[in-house]
Amino acid sequence: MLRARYLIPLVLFLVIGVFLAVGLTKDPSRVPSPLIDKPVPAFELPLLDADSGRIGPEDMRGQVWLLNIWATWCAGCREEHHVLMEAAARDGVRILGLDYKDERAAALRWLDERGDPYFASAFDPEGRVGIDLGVYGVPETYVIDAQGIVRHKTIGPVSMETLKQEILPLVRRLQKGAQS
Amino acid sequence: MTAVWRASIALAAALAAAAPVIAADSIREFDNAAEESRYRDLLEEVRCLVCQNESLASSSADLAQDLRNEVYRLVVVEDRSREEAVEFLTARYGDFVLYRPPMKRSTWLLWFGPLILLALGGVIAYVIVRQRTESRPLTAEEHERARRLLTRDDDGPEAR
Repeated sequence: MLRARYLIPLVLFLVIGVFLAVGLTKDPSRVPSPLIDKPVPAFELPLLDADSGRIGPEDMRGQVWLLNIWATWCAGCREEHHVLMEAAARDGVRILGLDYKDERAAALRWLDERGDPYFASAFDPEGRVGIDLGVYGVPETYVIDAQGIVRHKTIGPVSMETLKQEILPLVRRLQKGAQS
Repeated sequence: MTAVWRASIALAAALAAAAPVIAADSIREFDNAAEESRYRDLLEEVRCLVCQNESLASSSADLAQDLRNEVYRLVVVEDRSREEAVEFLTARYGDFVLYRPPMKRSTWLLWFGPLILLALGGVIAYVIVRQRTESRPLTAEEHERARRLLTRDDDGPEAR
């Protein structure tokens, strides 16, 4: 005779198993950003490729844009570079680069040699803006809507898959929302 | 024997004193002890996001140094409270940076989960113990059966 109490260990096993299985699918190095659905922190940084002129989120009002934190010393940035190039060239996504804790000459050389996916690059050699944005693992990519609200954040290199399945659909949806 | 004791106590004291020296932080200046302890205590309680099992105090990651500078600026230079500094950090990096998560709706399970499990375990243990010690008088039929078993001279299994 199968009595209910003999099912208790099985139920416990299943519950614990489900919890652990969900835990395994999560990457502990990807910490959810508290900035999601909040306004992007205000900043105004010098442009990377000019002696004068500054740029910040205020200049982007009314547009849906990506903010990509990158640096020449970061291996993941190399990995995602061609993805960003494609997003900018083929899909026409506006990407603002933020060159984080880097050297200007090296950064300019990188963009010259590999191609420049950014319509503009801000230069943050001390990483102060990086702290305001909660940057802890370059590269990081934010999707920001026309009202300046952060809608999505990718930590680590953007893969072609992430671009096509998450970022592009979101950008298109936000663009439609901005027009109506 | 006492010499050995004295030597080992001295060694232990030396090792304990040496621990802070290993810390990765740069040299800081403080106006008073309260300021210093506010700064040092906070660093111990904040996780470095780059190497997640290290506190800001012990991490030598680049970002940890930047954040130590920020915390120093906040609590020492600008003389802000501990709460304000924590608010500054969690607004940017989320509650995950705190080793002691704040008590709120989303962390109730985290805070009270162990207590709930303990209570559940207590209830289960109580029920089992009660069941084991429970006794009731035998029915007449059981009495008869017990008497037969006890009075039978044959110890082996019943032959059929």
